[in-house]
Amino acid sequence: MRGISRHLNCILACKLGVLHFLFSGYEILAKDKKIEHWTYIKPIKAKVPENSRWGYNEIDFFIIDKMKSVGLSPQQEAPREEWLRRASFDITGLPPSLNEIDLFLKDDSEEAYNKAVKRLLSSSKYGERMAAWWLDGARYGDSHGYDNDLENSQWPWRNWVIESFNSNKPFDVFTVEQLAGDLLPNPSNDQMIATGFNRNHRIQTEGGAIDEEWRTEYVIDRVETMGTVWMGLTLSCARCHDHKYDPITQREFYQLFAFFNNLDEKGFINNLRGSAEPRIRYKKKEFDLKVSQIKKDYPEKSDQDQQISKIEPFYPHVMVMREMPKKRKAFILDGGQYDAIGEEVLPGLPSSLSSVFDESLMNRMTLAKWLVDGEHPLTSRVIVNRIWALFFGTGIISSTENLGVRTSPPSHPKLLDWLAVDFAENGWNIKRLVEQIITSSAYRQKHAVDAERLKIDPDNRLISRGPRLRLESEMIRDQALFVSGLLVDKIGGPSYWVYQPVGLWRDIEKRGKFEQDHGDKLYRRSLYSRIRRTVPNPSMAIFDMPSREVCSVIRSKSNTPLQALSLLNSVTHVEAAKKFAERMLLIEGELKDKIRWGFRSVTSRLPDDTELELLLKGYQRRLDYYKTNSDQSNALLGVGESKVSSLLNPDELASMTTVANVLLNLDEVINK
Amino acid sequence: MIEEFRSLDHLNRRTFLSGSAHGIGLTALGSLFSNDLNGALHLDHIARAKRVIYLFQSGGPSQIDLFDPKENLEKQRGKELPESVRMGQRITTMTSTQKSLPVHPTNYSFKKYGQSGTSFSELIPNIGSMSDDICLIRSLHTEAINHDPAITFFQTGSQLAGRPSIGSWISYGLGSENNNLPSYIVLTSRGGSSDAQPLYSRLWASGFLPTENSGVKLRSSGDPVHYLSNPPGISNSMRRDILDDLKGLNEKQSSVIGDPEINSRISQYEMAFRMQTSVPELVQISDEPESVLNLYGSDVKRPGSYAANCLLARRLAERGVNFIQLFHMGWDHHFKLSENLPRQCKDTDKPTAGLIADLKQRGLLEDTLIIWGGEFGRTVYAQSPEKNGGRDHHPKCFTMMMAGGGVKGGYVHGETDDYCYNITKDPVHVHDLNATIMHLMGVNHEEFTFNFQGRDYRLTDVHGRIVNKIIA
Repeated sequence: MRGISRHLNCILACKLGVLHFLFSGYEILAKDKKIEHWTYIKPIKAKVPENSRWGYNEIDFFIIDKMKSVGLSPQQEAPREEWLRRASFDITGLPPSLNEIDLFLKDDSEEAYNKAVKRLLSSSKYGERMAAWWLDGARYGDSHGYDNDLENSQWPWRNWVIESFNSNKPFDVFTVEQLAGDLLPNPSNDQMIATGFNRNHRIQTEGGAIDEEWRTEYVIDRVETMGTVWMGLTLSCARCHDHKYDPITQREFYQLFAFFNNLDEKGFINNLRGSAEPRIRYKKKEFDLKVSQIKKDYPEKSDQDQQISKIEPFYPHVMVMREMPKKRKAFILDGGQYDAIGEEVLPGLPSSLSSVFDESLMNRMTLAKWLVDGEHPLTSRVIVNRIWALFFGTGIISSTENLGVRTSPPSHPKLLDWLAVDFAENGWNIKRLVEQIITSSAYRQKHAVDAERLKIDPDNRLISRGPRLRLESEMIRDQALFVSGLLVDKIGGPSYWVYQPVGLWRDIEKRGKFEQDHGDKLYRRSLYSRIRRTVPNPSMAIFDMPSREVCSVIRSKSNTPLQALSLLNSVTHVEAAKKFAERMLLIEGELKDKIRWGFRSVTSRLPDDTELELLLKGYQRRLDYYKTNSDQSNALLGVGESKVSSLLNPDELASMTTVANVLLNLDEVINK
Repeated sequence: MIEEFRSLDHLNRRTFLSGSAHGIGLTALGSLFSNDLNGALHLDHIARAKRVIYLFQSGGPSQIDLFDPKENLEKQRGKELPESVRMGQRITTMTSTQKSLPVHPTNYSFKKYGQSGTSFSELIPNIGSMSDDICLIRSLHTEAINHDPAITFFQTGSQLAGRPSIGSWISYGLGSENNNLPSYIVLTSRGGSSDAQPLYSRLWASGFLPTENSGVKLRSSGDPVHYLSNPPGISNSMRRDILDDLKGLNEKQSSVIGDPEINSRISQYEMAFRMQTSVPELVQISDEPESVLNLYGSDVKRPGSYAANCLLARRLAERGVNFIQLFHMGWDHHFKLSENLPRQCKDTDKPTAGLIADLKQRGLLEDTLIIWGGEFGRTVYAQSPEKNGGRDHHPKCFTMMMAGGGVKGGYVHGETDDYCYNITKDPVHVHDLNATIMHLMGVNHEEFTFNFQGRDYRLTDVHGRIVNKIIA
């Protein structure tokens, strides 16, 4: 029931926003009935406000300027451990190791923060963290969705995303390859796979479905997803009629539709597993080499087939975009209905966002390049705003999914434009943008809040303190695996079935029986947990991970009793507590040293005496119980598939597991 | 001001919205919610139903064989469905390739029940016996022709995934009457028929509304709520002990950091602990006397059956849960209609009637709205008539039942043509049904909106007319 206070916070923030809106030159001008809204005008790099005594980079000068205007001053700088923990999660999705904390604390040079950020950005875990973010908008899942919801094999596309972030592929290239990689001259296998972005949508496999109805649906999904991810516009409104608020006509919607309409695909495929055409094989050259080697090594055909079937799961077919030589005609669909065909349209760009092109020359490449040509008023704002939201919880425009006319006013419009232009001017360099944000004084403030800040800036839209945000679902599980030593440090590859409650598939059992994976496969980062879109893993869904059925670029941060139950009782978290307790007991020194080590592992700081005392007492109390109930100790230590050292006393280990259970549930630990 | 509003968090939202609490009237509220909950919930009329028990029959029950008798149709048996009836309307690819569409009148007899004399099929005599409490709508129609989009449409007012479900809207708007249980609870069951469509958690998800308004599914095997039980080796008192340590540390952190979310989290852990008691107590039916169990039929003792879920629905209603939704699978009778339909009816007839009777004897029926029906109806023509066939999906007309919660008992609304193919009187669209459900709950469906992506969304989109004729 936190709804009401949230609304109120919004109201206040909005009122402040509206005030700013009125005085900042951002206004809606009515000219000859044509609406001109600032989001349709190319951003210009605003003058950075007068240098203030506070601040590290340009971001801060905009932030302090605004803060001063409402009578707030910046919060103190965060303790170094607090900043490092936040930065580590934000950049890599994992907490810092104790060694990393020590090294950072020892380095009192001016450059310590920059060095730490550079180290984090060069970790391959950065690509995994950013991929988890990108996959929401790309509605990536490991199954086809809808009725049968059988498995697909799109994971090589996910590999491409991870590698692209790690190699810091400029965002304009990243965009062009995903939207039109197949139209590049002599596209590489990777560039083809990149276009899987537009094939990640669900596919209807229910008997009786009408082929053209669903093929139309996929094309519409592509338009809507591109609209949300790159343009920050709700293009879907124009599916049935001219957009009510934004200057997008229904005709223009179907002109965008025409860009994505031209591949040889089916709308309905009965009981589809794997990839639907058009598709290509992942790492085809490597696969072909291995196959020819197998054919040399095994003379018998049956042995050959057996060997090939062993390697095939690692070289699956991936669904991609490929143009048909003869263009499929596109039409305005009356009311958005597939069979209500109206006037024919050619591919074209919305007139409010582009100057006129020669329509006959247009294809997806034109579209992709137009999005990132530096002239498009929305793309750079949209992406900068989303990355801001990733680190501060809320975008400079809070509706990260909609920057159209009906958007809520930005908290710092000039900063948004400055960042947008700066980003595009500097090669669409995402790592650079992340570094600017994470090293800023704004981000370096401590996240503690006082009554005054809470009153004037309840949702921290003005950044009057450091961000304090609940960890995302993947981070919560990954942290538990990391501190318990279970996490398997390996990048990329197929997805795996991790623990889920028994009987979860009961209502869909006709569609397949759940077979959990084992061993190392159980302890990969959550990015690699298999997603069956219609039956999400509850422990992920409970922490607000979207089902990936449709594009989603905003995750809520709910706070519910089901989260408590998941963290207290799920196999994943109890097993992690058990293994974490084992590590604690293996630390040399007295009991309090062991607990201190554990506390610091999850919070990045040392406990004070009260905290330590409370945990010590709890350990002793529960140890007394387990000593006289050893069967209970063994029962607890039997949770999860991993084994614990037989050299440790089970009663001590069980009691320490309860301490670890407390630690992994601390509010401080599931926030950053 | 802010502090004062914050304290409203734990107020019962319904009391608050009715304008009596803290002297804050609706005008103030309207502006208060102006961002997210535009206009808020104008409880501009008295709610007739305090809660809903929605008995969703997944797959699409046959209205022709159960609720909508066509005495003169027998003469047409085996003849081609006239084009003047079909009028080129689309049919699924399962029968569009069939050589003929032969008319297949029902093989079951109908009987008039009660003072109202409403006709029900011989397959559902127990439901028939509650005739005077039941309102039949024979003129429902929908836009979708496949299961997934059709059931999604019923649940969210849109065929495409991503919008909030009706229960989430109600939970968001009205909050909870019970601090120990979620406000929207879902139970699922499977019939004996093999034609069961899968059910997805998306159907009760909150879409763009805050996640805490998602339906919580009560499961019949394992933990009734995910992760409810302590792991082996952790007793209830040990859990309390662990939670006390956790609370101590969280409270300390709250005093240092000052983030109100920390206190909220502390209270969520306390609710989780209370749920560890309240949920097992809820699903434990050993305190029900035999006379009550008999109302629901012998299946009631089998956990996870439709009958057991009906009994749980009553127990949830008693505990103040606002929106209780059962999904019963197995109504998709393309084939073997003559075997599967009677079996499916046997599973559901007595428990449904028993639930109505049980609520009635406790005085709960008058403010509990019961809804029974599926995502579409079935065709009058046979699918695979040469084999032991069945009926295909039919969105153009089908029947739903309602009872209690302010609807007219013993009343039939709407009419269909002689072939049970098109509606001839008082059509009720899915949006109209949803608008009416909201109206009965005291909510104005046109003003209850949520701003997302710059647009004010409603359950009923820009449609929905309240069906006043069915309201008592």
